[in-house]
Amino acid sequence: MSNNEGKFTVRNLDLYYSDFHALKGINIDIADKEVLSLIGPSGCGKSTFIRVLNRMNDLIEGCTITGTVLLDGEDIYKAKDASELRSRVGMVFQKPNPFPMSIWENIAYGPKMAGLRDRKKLNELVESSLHKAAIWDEVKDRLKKSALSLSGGQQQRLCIARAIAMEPEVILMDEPTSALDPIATKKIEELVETLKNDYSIVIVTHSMNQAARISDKTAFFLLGEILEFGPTARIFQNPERKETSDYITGRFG
Amino acid sequence: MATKKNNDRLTRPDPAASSPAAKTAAAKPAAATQVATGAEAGKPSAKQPAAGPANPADSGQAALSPLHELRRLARRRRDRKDRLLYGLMVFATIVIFAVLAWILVYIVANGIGHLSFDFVFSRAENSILPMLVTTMYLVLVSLAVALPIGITTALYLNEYSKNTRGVRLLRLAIETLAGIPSILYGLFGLLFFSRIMGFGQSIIAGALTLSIMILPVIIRTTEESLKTIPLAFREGSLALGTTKWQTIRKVVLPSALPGIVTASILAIGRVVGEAAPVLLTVGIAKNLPKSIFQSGRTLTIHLYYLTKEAIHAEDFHIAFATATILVIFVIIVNASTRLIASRFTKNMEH
Ligand SMILES: Nc1ncnc2c1ncn2[C@@H]1O[C@H](COP(=O)(O)OP(=O)(O)OP(=O)(O)O)[C@@H](O)[C@H]1O
Ligand SMILES: [Mg+2]
Repeated sequence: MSNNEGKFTVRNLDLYYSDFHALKGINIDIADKEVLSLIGPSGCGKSTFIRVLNRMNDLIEGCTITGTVLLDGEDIYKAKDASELRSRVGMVFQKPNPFPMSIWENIAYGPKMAGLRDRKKLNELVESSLHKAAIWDEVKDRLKKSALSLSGGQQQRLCIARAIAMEPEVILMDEPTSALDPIATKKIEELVETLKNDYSIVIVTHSMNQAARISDKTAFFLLGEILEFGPTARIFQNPERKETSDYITGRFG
Repeated sequence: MATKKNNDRLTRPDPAASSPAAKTAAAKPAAATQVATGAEAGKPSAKQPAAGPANPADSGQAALSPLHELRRLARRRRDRKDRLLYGLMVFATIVIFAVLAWILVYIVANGIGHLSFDFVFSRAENSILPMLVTTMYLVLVSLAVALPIGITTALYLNEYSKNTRGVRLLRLAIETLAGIPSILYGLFGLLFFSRIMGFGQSIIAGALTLSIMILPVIIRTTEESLKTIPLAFREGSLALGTTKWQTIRKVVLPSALPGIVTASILAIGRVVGEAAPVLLTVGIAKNLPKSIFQSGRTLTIHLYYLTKEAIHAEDFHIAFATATILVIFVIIVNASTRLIASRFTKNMEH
């Protein structure tokens, strides 16, 4: 199997929370500059899987992983320290989680911690990241104000900008719009459309419409396994498995 | 059923009507409904009843159905309970405030006559400048020793340690330290810091002793505030590729700062107010300490002697004046702690 174009290559991945088998024999290729959506009923392991890709599960005691996860052909679990990986693979969480700092500080935080000190470069980076996250016009006059004063939708775009500022290669999004209203959701979806020109995006979603609208590929998870994976159009129009079509049409899950 | 309810609105409800509301009412003593209706007549719908799932059609209308009567009654009972509790709370607050105010006023009123610039700042015989300086040194040195150790320990316990046997033992030790009467710290300090380490009776010996005493307070208060910092902040920071220490330094610690300030203020309170261990380790020398390696007398100890040796009314006034200074001292130290902390937060934000 050739994975030359693959960004992530996941082979025979198993994950255990202590003795609970949360992911079973996952094999998947995530292509560069594509949107992959992960769907499936609650508790099937979507968040767990997405957190494998930036080693967020390292924080959880008793979580063990077997199998290989390659990013550009390199095993991401080889390195002792996950911070290098995490600066290449950004993450946006379900609930917007801006730091209790100014808007400017929120964006500059990651690059600063990575060693960028030049004030002018930081300013440029902050501005361009906010532009890319389609929130610049709303915040340009209040960069010194606390990020907590923003609305939920604005906070989520700020978090996306914060991830973008690290100039990652992949952005992981775990239900980024589940806490947002339809208008804010639409903005984020449009944002994903434009971001995929530059990044690979993996997005977990409970909205079938959202998955159908914005993703190129879709993977359907059930009970810790990937039951079906393929181009979004095919999965939605012509699912191979009965479970998939049942889930998509809302008959269970 | 909703339509039937709508019709009912115009007439008194029939208690025997077969709606679920009526059934509930019927199950209760009929008198309750009676009383409620009577009270209702005298007080036309002051409040609008909340829309209930049982009969949404009635919402926004003066309730006349039995279920609504019951709810109204229950609500009134609840309101009465609420008001009673509220009254109790106000009362308790007033009592506490009044007692505090009374103590303060009593102290200041008795001491103010004797307060003067010379009393506080001159080198005159009965000036309390030496005691003020000793107290200040004691507070500063014990905090300088205990805060770094306490915060580091709290960080270790909360951020790094796993729940091993050693850690459980450490926690037990901290709990135990918190419960020991302060005189035992004094004895330990006298033996260890004054005798074995050779500090004699000195501010440094006292500060080291007291820093052990305030460690548990600092560790526990800091740890409590570390625990309240949401996981989302840490995850958000780590997901940007920062190291654990960067995350702690830039996200966790600044958020924990209010808790650390509280810890410091509690600790300062204990250091300033402590008598027994201070008596044993710092001593009672009345002269201005030239360094922290000399003995000295804290305001609290001084106050103790003043009161013990007071005979004339005049002596009591001096004691009260000293107490006034002690109160002012504590207020100033606490205020500056907060000030320093808020400066600190601002610096971290830029
Ligand atoms: N830290 C943990 N420790 C133990 N079990 C966990 C942990 N996190 C998740 N699990 C379990 O692993 C399974 C997968 O959880 P996961 O959060 O990945 O589901 P999900 O697909 O994201 O669900 P949802 O759509 O509700 O977010 C669940 O059964 C969950 O109970
Ligand atoms: Mg999830």
